[in-house]
Amino acid sequence: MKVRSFSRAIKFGLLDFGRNIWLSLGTLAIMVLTLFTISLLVFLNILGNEAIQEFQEKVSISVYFKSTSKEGQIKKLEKEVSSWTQIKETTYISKEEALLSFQEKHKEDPLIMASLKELEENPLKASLTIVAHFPEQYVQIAERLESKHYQSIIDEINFRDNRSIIDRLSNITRTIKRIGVITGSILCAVAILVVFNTIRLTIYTQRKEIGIMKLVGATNQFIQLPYIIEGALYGLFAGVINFGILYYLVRYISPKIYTFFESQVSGLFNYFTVNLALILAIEVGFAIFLGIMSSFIATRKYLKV
Amino acid sequence: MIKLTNISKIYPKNIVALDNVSLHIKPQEFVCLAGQSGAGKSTLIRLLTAEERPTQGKIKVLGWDVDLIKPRHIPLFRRKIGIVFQDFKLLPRKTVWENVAYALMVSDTPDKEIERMVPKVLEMVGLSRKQQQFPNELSAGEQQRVSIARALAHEPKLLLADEPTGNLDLIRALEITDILKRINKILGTTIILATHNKDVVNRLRKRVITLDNGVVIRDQEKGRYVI
Repeated sequence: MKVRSFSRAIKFGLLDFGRNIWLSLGTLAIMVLTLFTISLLVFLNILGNEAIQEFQEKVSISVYFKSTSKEGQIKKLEKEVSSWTQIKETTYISKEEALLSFQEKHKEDPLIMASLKELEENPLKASLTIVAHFPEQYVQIAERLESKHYQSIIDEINFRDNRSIIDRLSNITRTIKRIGVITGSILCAVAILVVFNTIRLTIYTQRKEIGIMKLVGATNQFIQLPYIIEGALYGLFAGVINFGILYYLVRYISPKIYTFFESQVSGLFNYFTVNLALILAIEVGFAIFLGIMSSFIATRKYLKV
Repeated sequence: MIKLTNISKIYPKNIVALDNVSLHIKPQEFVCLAGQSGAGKSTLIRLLTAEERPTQGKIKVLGWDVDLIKPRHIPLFRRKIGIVFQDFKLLPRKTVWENVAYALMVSDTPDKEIERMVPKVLEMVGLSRKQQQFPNELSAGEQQRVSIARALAHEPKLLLADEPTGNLDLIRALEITDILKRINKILGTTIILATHNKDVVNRLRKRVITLDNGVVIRDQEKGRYVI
């Protein structure tokens, strides 16, 4: 196609978009809504993952050692445990460190400080905090630690108490992920079909015009290009509008989410601002692609005159 | 200019629209294709515009073998002819000016040429003052005149009109007839006018080819409508 015809086709596309403004706006509104649904799902997923991670990081097993255990024995145990595949990290806190942090924590409380002084020796125990890769692994870890091999030095394993919480959390995690993937893909398919059908209906109302253009001697490309431009315009505007809505929505709800999770890190808004350009590009790119493909497929049908 | 040799068109379920029709039409001729509804006039026009293909026979139009034309050559062929329809077939979302210009844009005509031709043909059909209106703002007669202007814009050697007066009252119909007659006389365009309107045929006093049940039953110079 020659440059002149190409620029004319683009002009027609823009002109038709404007002259059909109510139909265009209707199509646009539907596209914005569907895109919004998809983005919302994606963000809920991100948020859910983040929350779960947050919880998971808070879950751990603490092993307290008998005061008779030697530091060498404990270090050896730590080395062994670290080599297990389930283990993400271990942190050793010696008796002295435990005492220091205890004092630091309660330095405002004269009663506690006084009673601590009364004691002749350090009442706190050395401990090892163990974090696993996945919450469901804690049961195995706890069982291994409970074996006779370690009984001589371990005083207490602080896991039984958390066990039900950990179990429940890992269950919830799995369910949320499964439901998210299923509903996400169904909704995504629905959204794409709705956009496709809307654009197809828009073009369906103009099928006679396509026939006329052919009778006047227009080539298929010359007929199709304005419709594809229109489709791309729907995509462009829908993508930008949707991005705007998301931006303000995320900015508005982020602080509420922080409060809910009692955490300063949880960063949906951070995530959003850091990846601003990327999200915009994906949103708009996906929307334009959807618009162009829908127009292309829909016009092809009526071009077979 | 146009040569039909033993043309037959049979639709599914054995409906015979045209039966062994042979015709020869010379350049600058004005031919009326007369006959009742269902006689095969529209089928004949559609075969000439490559909208349909004959079941049998050869069609030669302006040097193109239309019965054998490849789909990708159809747009090129249609740019050489002008077509006027009973239902006008204007583009509703384009102005009068754009509708006419569209016929030129499809062949990548330069802007200068478009700006020269469009006012010229619109003046010829008497619509110079309605260039910026949309088709639905015009009367039926005016719409048909736009459609004629569009068909003329690229200066075709051949103009095919399928019942152009079918949706118009007698006065408008005769107006259109006069415009076509003038085009034939001034521009020398070959015109084939399919119609079942007796008054239109009789006013023209041109060659009349009468079809009945897909067969040519009469072909007269300066003929009248007789059925």
